[in-house]
Amino acid sequence: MLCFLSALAYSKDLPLYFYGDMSSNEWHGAIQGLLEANVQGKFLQLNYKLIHKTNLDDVKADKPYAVISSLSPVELRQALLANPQIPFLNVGSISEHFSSLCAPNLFHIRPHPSALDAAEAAWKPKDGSGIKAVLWHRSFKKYAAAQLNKRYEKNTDRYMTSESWAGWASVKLFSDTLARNGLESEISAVHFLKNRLAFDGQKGKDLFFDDLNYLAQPLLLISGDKIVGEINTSQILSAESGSSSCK
Amino acid sequence: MKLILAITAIIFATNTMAATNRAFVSNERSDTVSVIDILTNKVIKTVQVGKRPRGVGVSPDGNEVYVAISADNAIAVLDPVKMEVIRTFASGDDPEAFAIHSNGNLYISNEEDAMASVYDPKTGALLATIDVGIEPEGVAVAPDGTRVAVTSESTNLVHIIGVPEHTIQNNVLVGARPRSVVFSNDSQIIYVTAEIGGEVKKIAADTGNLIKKTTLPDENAKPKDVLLSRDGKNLYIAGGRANKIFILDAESLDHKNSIPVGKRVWGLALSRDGSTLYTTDGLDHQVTVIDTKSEKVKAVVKVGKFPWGIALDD
Repeated sequence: MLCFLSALAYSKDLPLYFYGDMSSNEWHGAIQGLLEANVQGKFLQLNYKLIHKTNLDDVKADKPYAVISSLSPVELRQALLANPQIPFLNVGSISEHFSSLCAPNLFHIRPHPSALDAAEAAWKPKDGSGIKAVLWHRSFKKYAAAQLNKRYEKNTDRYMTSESWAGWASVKLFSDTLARNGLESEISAVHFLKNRLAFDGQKGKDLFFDDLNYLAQPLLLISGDKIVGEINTSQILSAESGSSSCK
Repeated sequence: MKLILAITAIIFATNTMAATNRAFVSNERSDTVSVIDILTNKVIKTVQVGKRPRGVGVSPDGNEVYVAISADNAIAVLDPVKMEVIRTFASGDDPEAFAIHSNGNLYISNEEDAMASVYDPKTGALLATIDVGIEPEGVAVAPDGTRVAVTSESTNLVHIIGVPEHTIQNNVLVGARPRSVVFSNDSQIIYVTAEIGGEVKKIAADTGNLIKKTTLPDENAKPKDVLLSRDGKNLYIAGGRANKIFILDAESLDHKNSIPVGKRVWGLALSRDGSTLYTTDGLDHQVTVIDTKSEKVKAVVKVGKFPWGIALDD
């Protein structure tokens, strides 16, 4: 690993800041995303660096390319509003408080709880109770998901969860966006993420940020620790939209 | 002189007779290869080859058929006449797709190793490895033999590799999940399909510059295999979940026609004379046979479970 990273020394360093718990699944997922982003970066002379931070004032001072965070909206609010050109990728769970935090540069990787509820409710009539909607599951195989699960387990000795998928996806989708947009582009990364994202998250669909900047994506429906179905959040968008004051 | 002509005629006749007029179809979930007589469009034998067969190809001399048996980390070698596995050789982790150089060497994408590898199938010797992106899949060899292109599905790149030096000349960012690639007949252009977004890109092979791109006219399209017609005018694209073959103008990338086939069409093969296109339709466990002149389906052949690749010995 060290040899690989040193081989990237000639590449352009691109810092991404991470705010949150370093023992969390989100962090481990983000590290996996970093490894994979730097495989692409190796061929494009781009070297992403994931730097754990605690002081949000560093965002304004250092201007990282993106912020990945699992902090609460209360903690994030000031930094978000002070740095409108920097994308903030929220990998944490969505509380009701996030619904009132409206910022064009805030992107949610995980769906609003009401979307999860709606997904579960949509399935219940077909399969009875006990259904849980999740972003990811260790037994997911389609769309090369099995390969991602295998890579993650090999590198971390743990299963990929919804939380770790969110961390992985945040780095992967941002790095790919930056590579496509170019470092000198006049198009802001915020605009590119919102309008030209090209990312499937190993879920077999073209994912995108919806009107409220939630990542529209297939959810897996789990019963008894087994995948019993899939539902796309865009199919239940109205339920999610109705719960937010951001329009 | 008469003797030389006679020997030449015999050699020519021998080579011509060597073509078995058979299609070899890898059945991913049956661990078999279905052998189809393409003169009658009937399955004449089903051969157990190993676990999870995917990529399949015929050697330039027509004497051997190669099948990537992914879960066995090996290539199975079949005798196309006897329709039997005659040997296997180790091929690195998880071989998925491969292309065969005119010199006989196999260029293999090793899905779980982020690597392309080059093997001499006669000896099983590993000749070279090339680091590529994550989940490499589509492989194509330029007709002039000077380049190979490899797509990496999870890194969204197509790597253009020089031959024989096996160094990467260009890395081109393409659409999400690039699955397959083909060179133009003059080796100057590559066409790449990207599954997510139903995208097809036309790229200059020497510079890596984008020439044109298009999106297939069907929101369900998840393109996989791509082939060029023998005259180089048409692109045939397996549309995946669109359950269609898309025909594009190779120059403009304009959509010319769509031909409905079976569910989840992935693999393609074209007859040597270009008159017949074969598709593997995974979820329908069948091969569809298309007349390229009329652009109509002329036969459907049931094969094993989840047919993936197809190669012709014609």
